[in-house]
Amino acid sequence: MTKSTNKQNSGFETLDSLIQGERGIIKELLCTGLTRRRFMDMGLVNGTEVEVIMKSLSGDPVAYRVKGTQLAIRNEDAHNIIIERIENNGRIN
Amino acid sequence: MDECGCSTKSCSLHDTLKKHGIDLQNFDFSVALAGNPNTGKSTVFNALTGLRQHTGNWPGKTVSRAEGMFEFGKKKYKLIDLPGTYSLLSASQEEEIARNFLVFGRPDVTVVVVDATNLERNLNFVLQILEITGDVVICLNLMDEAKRKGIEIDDARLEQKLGVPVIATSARYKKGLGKLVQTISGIAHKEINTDPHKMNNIPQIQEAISELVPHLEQAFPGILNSRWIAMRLIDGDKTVLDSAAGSLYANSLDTGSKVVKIEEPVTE
Repeated sequence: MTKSTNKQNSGFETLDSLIQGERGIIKELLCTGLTRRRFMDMGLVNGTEVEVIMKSLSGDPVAYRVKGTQLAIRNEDAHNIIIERIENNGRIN
Repeated sequence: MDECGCSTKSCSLHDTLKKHGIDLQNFDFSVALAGNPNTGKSTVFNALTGLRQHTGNWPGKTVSRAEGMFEFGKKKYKLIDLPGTYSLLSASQEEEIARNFLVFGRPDVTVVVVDATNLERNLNFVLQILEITGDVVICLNLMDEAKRKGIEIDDARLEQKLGVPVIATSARYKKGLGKLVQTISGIAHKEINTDPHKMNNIPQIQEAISELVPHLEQAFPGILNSRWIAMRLIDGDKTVLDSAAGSLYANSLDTGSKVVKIEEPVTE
């Protein structure tokens, strides 16, 4: 389910590359304007831990756990969120 | 929160707090009730005003609106329940209503209900409100649930950091509401001085705001909260200009009342 990385963020891992049960730490939001504002209001700020809890039937959108609540985010948008993957033993990769 | 549980009959505050329903014509102070969704905002509203409320829609919007009244220390307070939102800065209808009411309706006091079990998420909204007004009381609600989850909150330190009063409550069990009402009264009467936390530590932004404000005041004579509007414009939000123009129009129609007129409740 990994998308081909585009020019904008090649070399980084983005939120949409996580599979169910995997966790990551937000490093940067590449989106701008109202989308960025909305994401930040929802708690998607640098340093926040995010976990994939569910995928919809088509795999898009995906439900994430952020600061105690669930958010559904389109893959298109998740692709603009750079993360650092947390391995299951809790260590940051 | 322990000195005034208000569930006990012996509480003197409780005796002086009268709940009103529908008489919205004569009031001394207007109080806005703001907060994130699911913070117990409506529970606080109901506990303060009683069951008789004035409900309807916000003018021209499909967003419901509730108003009620309570009396404390011989003064009448009109309480307006704002839509529950996570922010005041995005573009949804609810956020626009809440934002416009705070910026242009200028309530005497704004009570922000926050979820003590999810403080971090809620503080984002609190900081946004403190940019607009300093006449704020933080109602740290769901304290019973926080306690059950083992969450401890240093409300004195929170108060110090935010620069506005923080009152711990459990609205469901009517705990802390007496103190909340007392604090609302203190802010309304300007007996409590606040020093709201603001994002004014970036000189470049302050400079840009100061440059923009005279232009705004020239374009919109009598504009309210021009510094805040300037800040939104710098952030690229052009919708505030429409709201500002609309509010000036509404004010010129207004017959001297401080609060923007409300539509009659929807009968359907």
